[in-house]
Amino acid sequence: MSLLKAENIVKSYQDGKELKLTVLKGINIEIEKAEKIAIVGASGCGKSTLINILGLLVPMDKGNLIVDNQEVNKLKQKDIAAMRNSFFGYIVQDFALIEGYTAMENVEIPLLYSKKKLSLKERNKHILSALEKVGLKHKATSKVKNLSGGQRQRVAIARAIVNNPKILLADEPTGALDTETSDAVMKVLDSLIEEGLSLLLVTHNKDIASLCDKIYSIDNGLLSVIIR
Amino acid sequence: MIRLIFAFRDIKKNIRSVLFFSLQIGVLVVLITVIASNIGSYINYYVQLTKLDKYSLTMFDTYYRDSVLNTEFGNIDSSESDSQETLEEYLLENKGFSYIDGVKITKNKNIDLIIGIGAFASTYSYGKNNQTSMLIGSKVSNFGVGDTVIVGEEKNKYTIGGILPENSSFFMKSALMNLDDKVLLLMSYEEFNNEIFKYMSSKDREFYSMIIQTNFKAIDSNENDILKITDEINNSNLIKVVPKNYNDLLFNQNNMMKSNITFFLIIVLAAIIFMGIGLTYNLLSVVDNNMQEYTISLIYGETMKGLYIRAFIYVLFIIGPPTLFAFTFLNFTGIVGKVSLVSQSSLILILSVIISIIPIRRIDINNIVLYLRRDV
Repeated sequence: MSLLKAENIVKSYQDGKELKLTVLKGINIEIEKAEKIAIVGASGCGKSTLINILGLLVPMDKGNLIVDNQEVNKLKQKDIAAMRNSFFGYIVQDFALIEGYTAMENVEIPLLYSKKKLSLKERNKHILSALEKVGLKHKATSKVKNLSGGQRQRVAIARAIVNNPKILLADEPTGALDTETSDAVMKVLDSLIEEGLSLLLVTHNKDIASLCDKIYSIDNGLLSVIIR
Repeated sequence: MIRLIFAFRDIKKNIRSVLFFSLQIGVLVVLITVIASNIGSYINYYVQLTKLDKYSLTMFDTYYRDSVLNTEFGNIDSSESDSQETLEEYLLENKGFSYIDGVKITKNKNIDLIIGIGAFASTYSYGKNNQTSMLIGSKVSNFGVGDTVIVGEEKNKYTIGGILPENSSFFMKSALMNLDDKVLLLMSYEEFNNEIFKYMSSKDREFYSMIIQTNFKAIDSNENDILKITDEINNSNLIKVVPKNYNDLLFNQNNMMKSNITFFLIIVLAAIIFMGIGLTYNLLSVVDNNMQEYTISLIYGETMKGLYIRAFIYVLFIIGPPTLFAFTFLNFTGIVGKVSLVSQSSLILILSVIISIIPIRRIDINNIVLYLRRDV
């Protein structure tokens, strides 16, 4: 059974006053457990829009999305928010970390929104465990503004996995990193997949995409399989 | 709770901008309150003024002769006090009124007492004319209805018969005297003479006689009556008077207030518009600084409604302290009276809701993810 199933997803944006730009024209995709999927495509083709819709961040105009056996269209906003918190981990190109916070404070954010209502001691345990998985336990109390690009992305990964999500959504996770650091980050992601996590990766880097089990391409608002 | 914590963190992060914004809000609240207070005073003045339309009131500008100015109270030759008799006739027949204001003549409590004499009560619609009655202002707390107040002699005890409506006032010269924290004693001139005046020392009697003369207003008197009063008083050696139409004086004062307020309003409105534009830009910049945090929170389990609440709490904490401070300042400086905490809180909530619209409109579900792509 798939963890996520998207059927005929359509999304348009208003471009100016009258023109409506349809970026996704009927996307179908499924994500299974421990599966690594890459989506490639030119800039502006709708890769990020798709990952945002699948990650329940942006509403779709049409289509059906089933996440964890639940039809998203039928869920209330607070249930969708709870699903974002517990089912998905999210990594973006620019890290999206809060500069003034320490690594621990950044990683803590998903736990603060969690329905589990963990105590401070339990939260710290989860945070340090996540930072350990990305090899940054020793930087737990460092402000992220003092960390390197690679370290920041690993803090972002720790934040994405701290709530034990089922699917990791990564939007150009290595886009802001050099080749060596990108490899290190991909190794971290690989080790997480081995633990049973699924990965949906958006990238324009074919080398990074080639590390995945399936590669899709978005062109003219439609998804096509490159490698299965 | 989590929204409160994050709102505090947002403030901590933008502390300089927040402080600057708060300062602007504080100044704006002071300006708006001052202008609102002035407009309120003007409207109140006008409303009270129109109530006097049914009377034709004449006042007398009083000038003391040198013989009085160079003599101490108590030593003025009583034969020179003939002018008093002319006014007494008008007061006794209720064809005029006078008052003694701000004189602390109660022995038991240190409180301002206004004694309205003659037709004062009917002119200002207080209590009953020709019958002694004591009334207290709505904010007087150390007396209550039924309490006894001693005025002058021990035997002159007056029982408080009622409480004046809030914002009761009367015209004193060209100003409106508020009675909320005063005690008002209404008496006929005869009662005043028999119960208070005759027990005074000669020094006090001379002093209060002059106050009564100075504050005297004739009601609905014809031109001949006015001339008669003026001639009789001016023939005495004590004072010299010039009759004036009191209604006109008050209307002129009202027109002057209107001109001043219009000018002040234009200046303040211009300042408010410029500050409003500055505030909007400042708020947008402060909100923009929070957008990435909002997006991160959204990704990790916050709802859009939760973000709106967080933005509202953020604005509330920016608006609340300077507004409370502004009202404390305004009260301390005497620009406005004490505003209840409920009214202040309501104003803060209303302002926060209105100002929150700006950041809330910024938090759009279709665009918020764009903030993930920005370097923080």
